[in-house]
Amino acid sequence: MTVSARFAVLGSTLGAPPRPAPSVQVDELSAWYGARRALNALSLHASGNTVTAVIGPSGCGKSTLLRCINRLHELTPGARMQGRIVIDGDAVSTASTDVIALRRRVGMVFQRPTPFPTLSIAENVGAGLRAAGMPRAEIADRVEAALRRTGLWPEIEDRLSGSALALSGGQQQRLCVARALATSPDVLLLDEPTASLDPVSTQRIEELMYELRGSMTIILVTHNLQQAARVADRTAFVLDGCVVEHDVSRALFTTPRDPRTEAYVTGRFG
Amino acid sequence: MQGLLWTAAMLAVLPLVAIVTHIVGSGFAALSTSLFFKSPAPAGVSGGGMANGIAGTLLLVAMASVIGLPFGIGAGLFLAERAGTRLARITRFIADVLSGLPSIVLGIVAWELIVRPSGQFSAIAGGVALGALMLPLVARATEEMVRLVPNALRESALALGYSQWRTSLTVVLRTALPGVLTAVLVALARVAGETAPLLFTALGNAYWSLNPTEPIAALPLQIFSYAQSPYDDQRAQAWAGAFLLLVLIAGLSLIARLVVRARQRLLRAGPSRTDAS
Repeated sequence: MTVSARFAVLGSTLGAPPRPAPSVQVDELSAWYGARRALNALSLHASGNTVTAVIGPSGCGKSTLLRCINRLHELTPGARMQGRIVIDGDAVSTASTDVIALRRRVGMVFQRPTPFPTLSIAENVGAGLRAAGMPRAEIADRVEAALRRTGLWPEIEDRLSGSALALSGGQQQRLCVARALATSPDVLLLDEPTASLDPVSTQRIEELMYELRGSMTIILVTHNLQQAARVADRTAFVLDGCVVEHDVSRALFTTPRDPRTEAYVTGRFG
Repeated sequence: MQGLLWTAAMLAVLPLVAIVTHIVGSGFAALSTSLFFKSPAPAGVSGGGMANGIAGTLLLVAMASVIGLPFGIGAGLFLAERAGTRLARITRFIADVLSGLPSIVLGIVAWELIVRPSGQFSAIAGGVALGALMLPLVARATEEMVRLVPNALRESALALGYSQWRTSLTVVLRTALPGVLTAVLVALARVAGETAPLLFTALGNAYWSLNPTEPIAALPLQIFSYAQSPYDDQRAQAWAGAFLLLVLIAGLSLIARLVVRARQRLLRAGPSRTDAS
């Protein structure tokens, strides 16, 4: 059975009902940290219900791109951005954007697991819902649903009120995915989500990404080219803050048009 | 080398051990039930106690906490979360100067601001002086603890749609809480034993009083006056008072540690532990 066929089976058994998810359009986005320019008029389109992988050497601006989309970038002292980001027809890059509402629609998972150390497993997953003011009774159901989607539920259902720090690294990262999923985001930003994980945990997260695109749009930053090839519908190669090439993953990895892309995917630099 | 380090460690601990054993030795002998339940007897008359001083110290520390804790912790949180701003730099500088100030100076300020306009010494003036003493200690310690909280945690909360203030209070401060609590206790212990700022604010009182607008007794003040007394009885009570202060401060830090540990244990095991076996 091919990998994608196996994922398809998993998707049908674990899957939440498919839901149309919005596209993400990035236009001429530039971003700075003080005087240093991290993004240079970058444009990228991620269609709804797809996984878009963003690859490129360290420091090319991949993470900054994600941090601009959910507006975390501007919280870094001295950081600023310019350009336009449109999600589902709404410009979310303006000064008048309600960033809190935006961040509830756009979930994010970071490179390292970041469970809240003072909260239990269940409280961690429900944190975003509590911040949104949802009543406790409803939160419990949503927490269970999110944990089931990440496959974590059978492993931890008897210690929901225990500390999240007692979980393994892979479990902690899936907990963080569950935490991001609990608020039912339309868009999910994954910043090298498997960089600190073992192969088995990595595989589980990859399976999850494949399944999740039925209900959301995913942008995945990764250093792992095989991972991009396995899970992403389309892949964008970013260099020095610009998109060099953006294509269907298979085409980008097998027949890159730009010599720089070819050099990168064949491992000649980066 | 090992021996040298061991000797250095022993030398550092020696004064503490000497002080504690002396206080326990002299103070414990003078302990009696009347010490806890009676106000001082007139000089020369045996018996009497320090009930008013114990209650006064507790009241003064409570009043100092009302001022020192919310503003101190709030200021510390501000200093850490807005570290680079000009206002934060100025605040930090002032806090550093304030915490280096001799405590008697804070007493004079409280006297000038409260005692003189109101025309009388009062517990409130003492509480304000001690609170002002606590403020920079709590602020700087809170800042240090909050800075230890990883930025990734802060960003995770923000990415979930937490507002800035909710992130600061429920994620950042809560994560730093054990450290902040320890710092608060150190500050409480410090002000509980302060004498100088109370000399011309709380003044001391030979009688039982919990009225915040009247002069009030405090353990350190009573120790100060009894230690100079010509009567053996009062000098013995001074030692007993010193012993009480020691117990009070040690008790405070012990309670805090137990609270922190119990919370952590609860979180680790979860309530499911009881029905598991």
